[in-house]
Amino acid sequence: MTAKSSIPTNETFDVVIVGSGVAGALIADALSQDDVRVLLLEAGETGIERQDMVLRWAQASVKGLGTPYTPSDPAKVPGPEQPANENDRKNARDVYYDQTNSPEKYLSTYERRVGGSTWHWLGHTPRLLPNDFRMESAFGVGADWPIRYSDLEPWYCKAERALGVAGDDAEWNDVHGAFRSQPFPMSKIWPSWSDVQIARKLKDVEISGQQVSVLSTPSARNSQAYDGRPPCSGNASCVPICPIGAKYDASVHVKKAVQKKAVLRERCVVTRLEVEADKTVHRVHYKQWDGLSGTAWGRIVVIAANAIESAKLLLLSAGPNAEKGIANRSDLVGCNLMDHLQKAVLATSREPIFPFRGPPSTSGIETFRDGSFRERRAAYRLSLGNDGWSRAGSPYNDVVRLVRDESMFGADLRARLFHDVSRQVRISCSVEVLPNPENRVTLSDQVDSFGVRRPAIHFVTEPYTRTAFGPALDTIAEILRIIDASPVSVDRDPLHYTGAGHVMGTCRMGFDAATSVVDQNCVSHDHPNLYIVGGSTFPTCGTANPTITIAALALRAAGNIAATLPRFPVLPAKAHP
Amino acid sequence: MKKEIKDQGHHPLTVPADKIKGFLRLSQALTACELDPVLAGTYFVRGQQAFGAQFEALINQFETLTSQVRTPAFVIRQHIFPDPTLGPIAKAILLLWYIGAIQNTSTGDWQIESADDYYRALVWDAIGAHPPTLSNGYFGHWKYPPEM
Repeated sequence: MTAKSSIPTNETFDVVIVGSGVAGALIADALSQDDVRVLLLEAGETGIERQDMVLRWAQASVKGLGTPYTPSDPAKVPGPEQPANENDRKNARDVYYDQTNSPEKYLSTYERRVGGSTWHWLGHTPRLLPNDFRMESAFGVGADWPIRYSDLEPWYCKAERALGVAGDDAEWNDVHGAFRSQPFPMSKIWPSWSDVQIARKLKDVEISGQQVSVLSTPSARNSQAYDGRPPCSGNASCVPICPIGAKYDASVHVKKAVQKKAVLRERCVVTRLEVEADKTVHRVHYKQWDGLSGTAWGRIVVIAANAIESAKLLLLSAGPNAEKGIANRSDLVGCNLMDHLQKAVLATSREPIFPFRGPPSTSGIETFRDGSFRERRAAYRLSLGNDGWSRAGSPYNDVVRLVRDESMFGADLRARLFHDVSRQVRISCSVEVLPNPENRVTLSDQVDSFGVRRPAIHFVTEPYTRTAFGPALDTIAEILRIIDASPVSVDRDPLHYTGAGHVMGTCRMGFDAATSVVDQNCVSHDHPNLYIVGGSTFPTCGTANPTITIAALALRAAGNIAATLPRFPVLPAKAHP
Repeated sequence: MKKEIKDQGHHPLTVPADKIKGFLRLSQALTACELDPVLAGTYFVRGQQAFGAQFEALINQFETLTSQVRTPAFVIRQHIFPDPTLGPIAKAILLLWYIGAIQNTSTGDWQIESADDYYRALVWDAIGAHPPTLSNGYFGHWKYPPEM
């Protein structure tokens, strides 16, 4: 999977895909066959071997999300986790995003590499709920999707098989009406000791008039050998990297596609798309890391970067036949940027619960993801942590405190450390954000280190989201009381949140060209052979981690691409390489 | 593809064995753990580099006081930790064993030199866990309490 150093500058393919994350990789794999030539263009690179990435992270003094994935030449593919200059690692996001005029900072980031951000994702794959697809109809807020849960359900099943999702069908069938037509492809990831204790104490408990249930979280993480990858052995490092490939990442489907003769061209930063007079989009212009430029021609073009990079590329492509940018007749490209906003409550349990073992989270509480309250305020999902207070620097900070402040050493230090850390509890809430056209990605006047205009982001939370933090924190407080754990401190300021890494919106799917960017099949309303896939197409975001929905939509789009491909002519034979 | 990872080797041992033995005795008193003499050699060099002459002064002070029929724990508690110069160095050595890193006083960053230092840090075993990325466990072990 290594890019050639010198390439032809004019090549034709049946399908050109920009971006090799989960959406692009699944589509490449689904479409590649002997008579369908697929090109995957990726701005980043494959990089070093997995074990070398693990060692790079282990020996790093500053262990960031992007540490394992430092590109061989960061200046060529800067991103919110990858500073052009290593000294900027702690504030890479702020160096890359231009948020000068934003009321709040958009906090989530992504990786630009072969396989995309699935390398560092946690792996959770809850589906969206039926009402998440009809927020406007059901609650009078947000927007309706042009498809319903029942339309996507068969594709969720296919996506779960493709990624390899471990889950408990009995627990998850019909949660808030989300029926399941097929079981998960493998049984659930076992809950942690902590999960089991908390679930036992919450059995038959009602909070806010609702029965609270702890459910094992479906995850694209093997509970048994699956698709040539081993079962999870609980290395407790899903974020930032699974050392054994038990957790799915999109390099799985990049490799499958390449084996089926898809062409992967990495270190190619796509800088512009071109619109033909007939409104089709065939030409994809890119700039290689080595300075050479290239153009690929596709009968169909698929934009599969994330919600920020996809919007950026479409806006960068403004030209004579697309003055506001490609696919942007609605002027909505870049609008409605979303994320899930999170708060973590740290607490101390009376009994040891033994954190820092197993995947960082294996169970959650789905009870508060839907209800009539969504007319007034956002829904939230709760997750139970297996990672103690790692987000506050544990266990290192505990050692430092005990040694420096309390002068502990020897057996006393060891015993106290065990006592303190083994009781660390984390419960987090993840709150939905409504689409707001003012939350927008535009083009900065400043360029990145590769000479491409940086994304400018404007982001602000609305009362709908802010007012959900109060009930969510109240619920967490009640759970902590029931499980006999004492919160360390609770920050109730709704503006003090963290991002979930769930970059969504900006190219919303919808019914018509005036109010949306793509149709229900992820086809641009403006360009019949241009597909935009990924989290960018979500009209609303519910409270589900987005990847399994991205995957389901991508597989659905792939089916549509295969069906419509014959409509688009191939270039004259003489133009083929 | 060109490998970018440095070798994980230790510092060459450039110090006499008896000095390392003294450092090892101090380290074992601080940690109450059986420690690897080879890793002690590595950390001796790091201590020298970080703290200069005061580092060896710390070891000498510990050796002198413990030879006077005082227990190592008593010496650390009553003489070493309260010492305004030697106390912080002793605590830094203890933290080096527990975290595998020394804090840079100007930047506040913890400086780690090799992946081996990360994986051999004592903190993980002390809390009944393992360094993230290396569980050495089987599927589902997290469902049960750790074997201590």
